[in-house]
Amino acid sequence: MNWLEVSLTVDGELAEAVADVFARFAPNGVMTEQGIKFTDEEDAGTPTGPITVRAYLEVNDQLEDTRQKLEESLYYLGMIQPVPTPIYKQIANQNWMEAWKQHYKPILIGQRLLILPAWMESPDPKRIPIKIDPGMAFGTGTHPTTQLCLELMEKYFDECHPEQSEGSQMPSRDSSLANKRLAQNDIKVIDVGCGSGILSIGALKLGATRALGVDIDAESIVNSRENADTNGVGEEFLLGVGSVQEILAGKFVFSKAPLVVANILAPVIIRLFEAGMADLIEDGGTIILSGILQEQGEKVIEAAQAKGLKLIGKRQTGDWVAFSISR
Amino acid sequence: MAKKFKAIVRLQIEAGKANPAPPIGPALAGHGINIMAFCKEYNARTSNRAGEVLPAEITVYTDGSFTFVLKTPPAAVLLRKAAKVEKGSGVPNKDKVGKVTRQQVKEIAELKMKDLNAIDLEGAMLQIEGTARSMGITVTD
Repeated sequence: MNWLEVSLTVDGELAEAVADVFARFAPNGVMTEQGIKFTDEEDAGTPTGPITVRAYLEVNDQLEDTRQKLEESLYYLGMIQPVPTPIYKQIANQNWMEAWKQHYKPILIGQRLLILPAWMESPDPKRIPIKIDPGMAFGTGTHPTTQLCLELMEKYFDECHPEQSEGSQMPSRDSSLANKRLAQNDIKVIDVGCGSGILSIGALKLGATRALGVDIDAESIVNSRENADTNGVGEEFLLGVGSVQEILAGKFVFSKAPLVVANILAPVIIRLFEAGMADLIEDGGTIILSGILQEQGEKVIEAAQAKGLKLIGKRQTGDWVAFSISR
Repeated sequence: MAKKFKAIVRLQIEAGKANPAPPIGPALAGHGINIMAFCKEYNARTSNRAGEVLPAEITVYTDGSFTFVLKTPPAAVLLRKAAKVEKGSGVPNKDKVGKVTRQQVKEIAELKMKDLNAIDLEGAMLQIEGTARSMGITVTD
């Protein structure tokens, strides 16, 4: 089935009336889109200016009749408020479930990582690809919390193995131990609330030898397993349903690691510290925490400090912050 | 630095019935948004409100990520419900299809206040009355 797109660009107040007219003839629904204005480089943007209203009419025997009725309705609406002439455009039917992929762009993380969907070839072979099909949930690589966590992980591994990252500085006191571990091939990672598994996959690709991912949601474990296999790190990625208590109880292969990551919401992170999350970190090890809103950051740091941990790094995007904390 | 907006797309669709056909397909495909991910999430969040038109306002960021929030039903839908009419007038300046009271307009304005760019309830009521006029619905005292 082909479609006839009808669109009108009007001011904000008229947009709803036009959308209502369109909705009478396009039962599948109506869309509106507004331009974005930026005040400066730091500004995220504000929707402003005229609104374009679009609807799609099925191309069939009734099309001309429908179009005529729609124009009549707009004409009468124009007698109350001036309405511009609608613009028509033929739209060939296509597989919309696939069409969006043509416009998808891989996400660059830090200096060395690249998140891209399973179907796409890497446009930058110098970067380490993490293949995750994009969605809107946490853990598909599109959310700032995941990106911040991956950036801090990249920094951690760069300090472990500085020759892998061009121009990186020789790191601080923490790196000597981490460097030694990498040389000994012994970087294990514990990923609390692993979700899609993206952080463990990233860690394994950055140089970790084994990763343990736990999640209280069994579906996440299945999803993590699939993503690990897609990325060729299935063997090194151990998975199980559970949380901090189950790891500490020895339910899994290891219960301590030099690197622990948790991309969960701040209140959960604080509760997990109470449940013993700090005990998962080896002496001299690091925990990377994300999923934290800026205003919640102080409470998370306090919870970590109460367990004898020390803040060593921070990243921020918009309202979201992530921390590197050492034991 | 804050993530930058690329577009604000608003879809006026029926609760629980999002699918990749137009308008959703063409509206989102051009922005590189995973259409099935959106449809799945929208339907999950609206399945308990079948039959209602529940707009979704989607914020698309320049890096291809997106979030969305559900908005209140369009004023036109609420006015039709209040006036107990199936559709607006095709000739709104002449043929009046129904009536709503100013109290009903006020209730609609209060419900929609957070989604309208009105500075106060009075301004919101004026916008709702404007929509009513464009549909051939008369506002009575």
